[in-house]
Amino acid sequence: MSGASDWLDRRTGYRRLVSWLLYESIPGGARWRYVWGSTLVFTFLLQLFTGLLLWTAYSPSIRAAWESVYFIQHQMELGWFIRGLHHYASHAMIVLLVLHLLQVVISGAYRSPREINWWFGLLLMGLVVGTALTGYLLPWDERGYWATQVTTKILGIVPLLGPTLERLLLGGPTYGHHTLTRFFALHAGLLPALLVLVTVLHVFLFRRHGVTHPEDAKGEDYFWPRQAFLDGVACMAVLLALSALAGWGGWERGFVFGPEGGAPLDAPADPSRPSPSARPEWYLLFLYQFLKYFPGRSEVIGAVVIPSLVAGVMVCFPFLGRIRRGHALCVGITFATLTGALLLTAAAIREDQTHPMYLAGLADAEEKTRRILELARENGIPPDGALAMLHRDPQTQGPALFRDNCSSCHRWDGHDGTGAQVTEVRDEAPVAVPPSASDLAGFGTPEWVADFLKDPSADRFFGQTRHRDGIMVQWARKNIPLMTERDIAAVAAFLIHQPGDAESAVADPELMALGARVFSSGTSAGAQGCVMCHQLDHPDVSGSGMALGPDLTGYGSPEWLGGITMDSSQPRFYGSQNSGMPKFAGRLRDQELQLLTEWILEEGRTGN
Amino acid sequence: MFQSDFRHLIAVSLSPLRALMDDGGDPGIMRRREWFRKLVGGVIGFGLLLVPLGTGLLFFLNPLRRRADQHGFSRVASVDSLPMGTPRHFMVRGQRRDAWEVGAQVPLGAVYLVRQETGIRAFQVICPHAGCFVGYETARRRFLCPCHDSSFGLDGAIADPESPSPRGLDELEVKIEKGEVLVRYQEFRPGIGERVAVS
Repeated sequence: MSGASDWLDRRTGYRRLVSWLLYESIPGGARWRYVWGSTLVFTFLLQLFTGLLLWTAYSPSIRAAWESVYFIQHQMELGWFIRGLHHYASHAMIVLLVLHLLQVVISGAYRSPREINWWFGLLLMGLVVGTALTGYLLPWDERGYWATQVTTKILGIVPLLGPTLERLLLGGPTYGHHTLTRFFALHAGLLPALLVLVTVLHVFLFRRHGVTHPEDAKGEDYFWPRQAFLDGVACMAVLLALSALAGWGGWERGFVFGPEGGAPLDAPADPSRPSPSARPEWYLLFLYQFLKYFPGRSEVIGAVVIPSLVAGVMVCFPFLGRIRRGHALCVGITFATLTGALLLTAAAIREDQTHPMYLAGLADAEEKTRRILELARENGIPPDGALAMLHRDPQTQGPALFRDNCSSCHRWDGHDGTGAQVTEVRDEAPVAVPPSASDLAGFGTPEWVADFLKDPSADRFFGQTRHRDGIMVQWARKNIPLMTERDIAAVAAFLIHQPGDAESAVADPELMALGARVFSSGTSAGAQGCVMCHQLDHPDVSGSGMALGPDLTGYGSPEWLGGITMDSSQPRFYGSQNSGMPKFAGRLRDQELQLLTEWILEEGRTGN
Repeated sequence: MFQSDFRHLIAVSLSPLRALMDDGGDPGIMRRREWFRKLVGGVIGFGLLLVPLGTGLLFFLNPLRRRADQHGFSRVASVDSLPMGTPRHFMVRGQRRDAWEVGAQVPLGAVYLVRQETGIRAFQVICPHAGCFVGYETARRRFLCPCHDSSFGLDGAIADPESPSPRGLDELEVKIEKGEVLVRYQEFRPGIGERVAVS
């Protein structure tokens, strides 16, 4: 064995390197307070390793970034763990950097002859924060996208060079394909390379000057084995904490140790929809909060000038430290900055806890995330991406389409489709607007039809329309008392479960036959049938009337609902008796109409 | 035959280099050659750096030459669907060029439409402060940015002097045609008092 190592040493001289690395003198002996640098190196190596792994599965493109991160998080073996480690290790690096910085400032290690190493340290801090900021955007999810918007826009207000730098970072005037490729090149290429380089220089200079020990230090240790042991224990603690966080699913779920825990992944970024939950990661909340206190054009002072001044003062610490009481001043400035940051962070968290719009946005984002994960699990993700899939999902798009197109007359369970009241402003105050057409929650179900038949003049149906005293209402007053519950249920089921309907095959044949009879010729108790006014193309329907009301062929189907939406004044529907429903032909795009009708029918059936 | 010609050609082309490296033992020549070698070495070193760095810089600066899309009017909503006095946000679609990709009817962003007796106005949803999506508070009848709490009135003007925003919401050009609202979509640089379109 020693023969082999002699052979190797003669050819490489490795023993000198190893002994240089291990037998560093530590005057005063090994101490816990010296571990921070080592934990930082360890965490950074962990970042390089997990980052490389993520790189093997990540795709920096607008229609693939979220999708590939989703696949890492929810489909790949232990993907959630590797990503969780990478995510939380970035937080850990910030925490460890602050601890390391405090240790250096308190012990006075920024002073001569270690000035250059202090500056290397500050440079490393900047590089770490830059790497974290560029990494936040890469999943291209809601939180990363909107928070990074704020960050890059702050870069854009830097005097003189700001707009140019912003454009170079974004790869164009606005966010696009090259924003992701550039952020990725920075995050996985340039910044880590610089970090490795400066870290090597930092450690080299540290070794050149040695550890900054108390002046009265007695005794001496070498790095190996005592300090190395303490460092190892500290790194272990970091890794354990990170592993635990990688399984952390938030306060409500606790530790889950699965894809539902670890690093968060929101729904894919959608610039055309509101996402009020834009916040930076917790360690930058103080800067975010700071911006609130600078009204109007003074933003640049809070966003750029003051942070730069603080950084500038820290750069000058080695010179400040030379003057009388200079060291105390530097320690004071450091703690004052840190206290200020902590107070601002606390204020940001406190304000968010009672911010109705922020909380509503958070709930909204959570719901969107839940839905996109459900869709991705059920169907996989189509080639045009997850966002396109979300835009094609009736459950996601229906409420807003209903609100924007239908809710000025119709209601959905009393609201506008999204859950909000329909209001209008009169005399400077919002007033609830009464509906002027039927409430469509449940439309397309036998229950809705049965309720309608029993009382068409109810507010929920024709109560607010021109048909309030129309033929349908008169028919119901006269004939419904002559019908049994079963007659009503039968005709309702018959109308909805017409041939071609998905449930028509499983519907009770006896009930359907009764429904057909009632529809055609009324009941034995003397109720008039529906054919007097309505047409219905069906083998079991006989007789015909005057076609006073809408043709009910396919009633409650997407085709029927789509048809009446596009133009309810067709002879097939209300003809000249149309009560004022506008034509949506040319207003709604085909896909929008399809989403809207699917949502109305689907949502009505499931009763959500 | 061919081979020896080829060797000769190489020997001839390399002869200046060989001469440069061969001092011939004369101290004067040696000094001059030494000086000349440093000069040539410097030029070569400069070239080695210049070619990748210069071309790389031009490649990297390419986004500075890209211009933002100039959009025409896009149909956004119908007049009937707008409630009186309550703003509503709508997605705007239009042509968008992004690096290699040209999309015809892709989402560009969103606008608020405010319908009042006096007419319909459109506002960019992006906060002029730091670029978040501005929300609307029904109860207090004002726009509120959920990021840094900038607030704006229904006319888009800054509602609260404490607001961090340096200017009111950015108004967009609106056109009404056959009961439809058309908007010319534009984005503006945030964080400055003047309204400067992103170009």
